[in-house]
Amino acid sequence: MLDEELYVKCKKGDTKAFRDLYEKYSKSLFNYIYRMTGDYELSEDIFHETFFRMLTKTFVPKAKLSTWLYKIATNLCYKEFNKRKREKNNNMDLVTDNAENFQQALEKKDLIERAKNAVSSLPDIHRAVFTLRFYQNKSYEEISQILSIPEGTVKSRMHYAVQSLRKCFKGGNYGM
Amino acid sequence: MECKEIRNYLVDYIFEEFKKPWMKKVREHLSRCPNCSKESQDIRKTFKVMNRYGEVQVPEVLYHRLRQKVTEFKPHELKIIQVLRRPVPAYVFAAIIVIFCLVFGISRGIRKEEIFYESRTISSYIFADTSISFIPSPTVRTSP
Repeated sequence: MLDEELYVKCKKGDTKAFRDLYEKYSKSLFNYIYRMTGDYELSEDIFHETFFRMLTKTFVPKAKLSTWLYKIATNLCYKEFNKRKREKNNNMDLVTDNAENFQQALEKKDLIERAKNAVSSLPDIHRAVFTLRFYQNKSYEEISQILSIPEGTVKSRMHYAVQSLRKCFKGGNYGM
Repeated sequence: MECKEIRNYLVDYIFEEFKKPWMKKVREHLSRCPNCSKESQDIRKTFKVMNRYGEVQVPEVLYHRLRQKVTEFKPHELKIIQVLRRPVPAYVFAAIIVIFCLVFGISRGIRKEEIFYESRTISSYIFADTSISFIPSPTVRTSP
């Protein structure tokens, strides 16, 4: 059954349709949010809110339902980042934290931690593009729809993200 | 193709985004240019490390919590806010507030002016002719 059909049923209160949609998108969506935030508890909140908004708001079928879901999740993540930035007054604190984490991870030589910290050290807008392209395997076109930016911007952000990640492993220190 | 151009396309080359002729062109350049080849290898290694950051499992309890949240949700509570968030009602609402403020402000201004003129009239009466006054004259008590 098509996502849109499931969504219509879901809005009418069909529990099975809701379960089907949940099964289909929960894993990829949760992992996307988790990689964006790097915080498990926060990911749970944003994940809940994403599905909740899916049910309470009206989907306009201009794009795919999955695109819309990712868009909701991304906006919620950005909202949370802005909130955090406001709390910390400026972005420098966040960057420093990430850099410190990255240094700690280097010392631990734990590849998973290093990868995780390398992703979280990226600026928000680059991280969104990289996560969607690399981990969620979304096309440039779909990413441009999710983030509401031109495809060219998506490509350049991806390029910068990859260059930043390479710098994290400068000197060929890939730990492999 | 120049190195600068190739380097811009390396990520797409690794993702195999190009059509065959372009893939071939990039491959040929990489076989000739050690610098671009090194960069390509670096990106591949970076991606390999990034792949270690695997997926996390979504616990079943999240579904039940979400179901509970949805069940407890009362749509009428949000209806007014949702209606106000829509562009057209929001503009209408804003326009009503602006009109109200204007009308209220103007009417208050007029009233102030009226009071000002009234007080001037009263004072001019008092000072111009003491016999005509709005201030009650003090009563003189006489002892019985």
